[in-house]
Amino acid sequence: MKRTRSRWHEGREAGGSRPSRRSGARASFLLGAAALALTVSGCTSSIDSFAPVTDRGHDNLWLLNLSFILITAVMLLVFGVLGYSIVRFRNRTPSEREGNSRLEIFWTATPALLLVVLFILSVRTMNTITSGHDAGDVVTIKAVGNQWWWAFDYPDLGITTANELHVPTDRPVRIELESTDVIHSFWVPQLGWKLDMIPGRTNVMNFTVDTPGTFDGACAEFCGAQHAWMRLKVIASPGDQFAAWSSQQAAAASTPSDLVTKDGESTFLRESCAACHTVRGTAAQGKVGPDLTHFGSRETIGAGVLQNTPANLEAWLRDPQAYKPGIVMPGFDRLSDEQIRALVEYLEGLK
Amino acid sequence: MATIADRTAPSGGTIAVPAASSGRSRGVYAWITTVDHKKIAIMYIVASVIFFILGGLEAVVMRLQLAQPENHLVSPQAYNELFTMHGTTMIFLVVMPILFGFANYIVPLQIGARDMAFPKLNAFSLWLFVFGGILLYYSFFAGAVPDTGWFSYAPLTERPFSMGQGVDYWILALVVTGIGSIATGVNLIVTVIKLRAPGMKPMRIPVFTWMSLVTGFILIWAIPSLTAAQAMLLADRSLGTVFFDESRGGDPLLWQHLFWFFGHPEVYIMVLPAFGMLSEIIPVFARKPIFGYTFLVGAGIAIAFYSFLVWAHHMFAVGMGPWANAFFGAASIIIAIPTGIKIFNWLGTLWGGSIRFTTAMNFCLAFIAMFTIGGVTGVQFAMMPLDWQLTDSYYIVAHFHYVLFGGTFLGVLGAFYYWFPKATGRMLSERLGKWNFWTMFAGFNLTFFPMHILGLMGMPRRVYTYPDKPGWGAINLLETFGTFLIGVSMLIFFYNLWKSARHGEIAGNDPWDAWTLEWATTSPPPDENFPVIPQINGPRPLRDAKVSGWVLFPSDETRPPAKPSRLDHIPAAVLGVVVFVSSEVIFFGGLISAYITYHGRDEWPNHEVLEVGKVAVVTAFLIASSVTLFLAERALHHGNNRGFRRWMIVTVVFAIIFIGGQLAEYRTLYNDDVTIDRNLFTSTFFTLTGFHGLHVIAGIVMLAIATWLSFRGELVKGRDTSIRAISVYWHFVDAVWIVVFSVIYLWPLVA
Repeated sequence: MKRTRSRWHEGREAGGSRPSRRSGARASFLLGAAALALTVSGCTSSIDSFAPVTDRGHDNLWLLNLSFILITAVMLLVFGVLGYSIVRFRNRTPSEREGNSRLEIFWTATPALLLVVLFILSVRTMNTITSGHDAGDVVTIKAVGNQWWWAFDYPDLGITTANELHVPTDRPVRIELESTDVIHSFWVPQLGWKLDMIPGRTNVMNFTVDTPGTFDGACAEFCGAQHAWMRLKVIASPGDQFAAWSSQQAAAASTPSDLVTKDGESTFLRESCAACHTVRGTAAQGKVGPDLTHFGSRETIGAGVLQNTPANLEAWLRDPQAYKPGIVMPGFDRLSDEQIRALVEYLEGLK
Repeated sequence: MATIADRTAPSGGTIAVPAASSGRSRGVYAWITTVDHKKIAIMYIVASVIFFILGGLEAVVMRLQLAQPENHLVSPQAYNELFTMHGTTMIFLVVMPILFGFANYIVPLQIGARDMAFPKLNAFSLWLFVFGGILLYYSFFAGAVPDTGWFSYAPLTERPFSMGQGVDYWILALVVTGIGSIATGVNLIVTVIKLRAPGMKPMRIPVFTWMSLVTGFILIWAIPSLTAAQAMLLADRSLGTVFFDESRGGDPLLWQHLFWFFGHPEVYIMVLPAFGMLSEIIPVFARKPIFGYTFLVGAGIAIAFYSFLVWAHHMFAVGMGPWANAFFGAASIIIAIPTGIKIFNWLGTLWGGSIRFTTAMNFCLAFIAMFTIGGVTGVQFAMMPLDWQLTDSYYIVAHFHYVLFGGTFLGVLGAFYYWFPKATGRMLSERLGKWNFWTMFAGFNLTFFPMHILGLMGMPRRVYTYPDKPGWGAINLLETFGTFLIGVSMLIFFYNLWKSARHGEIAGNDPWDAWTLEWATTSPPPDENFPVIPQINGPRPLRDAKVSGWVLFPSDETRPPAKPSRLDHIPAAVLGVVVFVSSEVIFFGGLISAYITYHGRDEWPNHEVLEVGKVAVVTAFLIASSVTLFLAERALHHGNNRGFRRWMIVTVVFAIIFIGGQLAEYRTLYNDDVTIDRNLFTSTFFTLTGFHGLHVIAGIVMLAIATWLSFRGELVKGRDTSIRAISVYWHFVDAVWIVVFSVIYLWPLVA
């Protein structure tokens, strides 16, 4: 049977309230507020962006917190008006108000002023973050992004390493960011900000770490198949520990002392390893893959895909494609078990 | 209460020309060949829904992969293809076309027109979208799916980093759909400018139509930048040019600038029509006029304007330097003002109203809340140092899903519930609508709110997996559950569509007691939309008719005399070409800016290989051809058809001389081994002059056809719209050459 107007139309004339809608709205609001409070309270300490360890990172967090306060106020205002309207403005004679020039000018000008303030504060923090160092004992590091690992060079200290960035606390650090292939992005949230590595350019990050510890990072610009496993660690230690690390790293590779590690070294040099990797003090001077001179002292394999343990290293050597498909490193499963184990001993011994 | 349709049986008055799809053909053939805006709109929407299902399935698989740390559900390659296709699909094959569909359906109705200004061009746009989408998805069958992200950054997309053909599919599919989108922009602009019913002054245009008009302008000026960038990338990949190849002098950042010059206005293309939808639906269900119409419209225009000034906020982290960062930060933070104005205007509309909680209204209320969340995180991103921490993490993924999904898409769902009755004559089920709404609201927030936290915790975006850090797995799993809730919601929605199309309550003309013209005709409207063109008295013409007895469809005798407009003497086709030509300014602007950027960086070959004198001669011929074309038009205007043809032939000959000169120049250069793939100069020189040459050739073809039409006696004074349109194009092509010639050939002489 055809009708020419909808039930909604008649319902409007009949009037009547809709209690289910009101309680539904209230329940959702309470649920949402509870979830938010729970989330925020429990987690801030374990959220890297809220735990900066550099001077400039603290500045940025101050600005971030201010922004959260302001946007929360805006959200409460909007949700408040929205919620109030939903509850209050039903089943009544509506006003015919089409505008209010004074109000509209007010709600244009007030946000404009707030935004100008935010912009000025942003410029200030931007300048703080990008400023150079005052005179001091700057540690300079050249960080070069590759698909899918990080090369770290300390030109003044004669150190070349990969995937783990050691820095001293309480000393100015300067990182020069470059790339050999595609665009990468150097991001360790606890340092406070990220900066891209663009082939053909050098970008500079300056900071001073105030707290020792290990801080996680990752590449933050999609760079191909294994972008997900281009991760890094920043390890900040007090001056004396950093000095100890530096001198250890600056030294050439430790010479193998026993038969197994000697066997491992000769396997390393005989197989294609030396074509891609450098072990300073040996004939291995390859530049395609990470420097392995002190590989044994690193926490992870493959820029974070595996923990650096002998068992993992063996699995990695046999078939790195199983863990990081798409990288250029071939597998060595064709070698005998003894040769693999010798390689593992040798590499783990490169401390 | 009687509706307008009861009172206005067509009685006298001119019935306008019936719409192009006459009753002659039926079934599928009628739909494939239609040029009727309503059928085209429905096809846009149906195709968008199909692509939405594909894009949604891609998202589901992605979220299943991410449900656990170090998961192995799909390979890294497959995941990278999924997120690339998900983003590309949702943006180009879902949100844009579905908004075009709604605009196509509603705008002509809201302005009291019979169709869009260019119905055939409209159909062309639709089929370009459909075939472009099919081309993109054919990549699955070809085993070459794009896998470098929806914004395809160089140098990752260059050889040797992307050797497969995935990037090429991405480029070609989007060039195809992009041409359709530019055509849609032209259509929307000319339609709203030229086809409004008498009495519909600008400040009486419904907000949805205003927003569609503004979106048209953004379309024509944003998309050509993408097209230019894609042409350069395709040239790099297949012709060996070096636009973005850093190892040979190119700059990867040039891609980013050209892309984001398109990309930022693009997001406003995707949101302004939804703002328009809200501005129609909220007043009707709050029973109050829209609050602050003037500011609302002005804010839309301001947003469109500013959207072209903020693109590099997507590049804050590349190291542009403090001045660039500050400029783009300032412009980006300013955009929050007109956006906030709109939110406040909607709240002002609700305030003091009498709210009806239909499903359409519910989606709009949710939009306000969700878009506010997305909008305020957007302000955080406008603050440069905060962007440095938050960008490229899950925080940005949260932000853009809140504005595009929680914003635009919820608005689109509301628009479905609101306008489905008009298009089908049947109401969508409100009972199913409630389930649709609440599952969507819960699912959406469950999926995307926790992403803010993941981003703050340090999870980067576009990762096929992540390490087992505390909380990451649990939060990701929660988000995956949310995805399923969204899926359930969409299933309910599809079921609602399917069931209601067959068995929904009959809607009648005006089920919502609304106020704009689309409700003043039947549901669905007849082919010609209205019995006669309506006469307008205010911004809510149907309300005027209901409340104060205004006669919406007057007979010829009672209709007041038409007010002349300044644009009356410009035919729609000519206006269309003017609008199109302004989009070409952006396209050539992209190519010229590449040339200027790279000028002077090469040892050899560089501009010194050019023979300025010879090119100056053929340039003179090209400029002369504009003069002869002008003389041809003048002859036609004086009724001198033979004179017209003579000058046209001279014009064509001059143009051919120009092309001949350009080809001779190319041959000389190639004989000297100055080929397109040598260096920055050759890359930019050949691309810029080459595209210009192609435009000249297209113009020659058009001029020749016009001359032939004159020989047939079909092109005479009074029936000369085609030559007027062609001459706008031709003069533009010549003007572009003057600029190109000055930049390439003359500039080195004075510098």
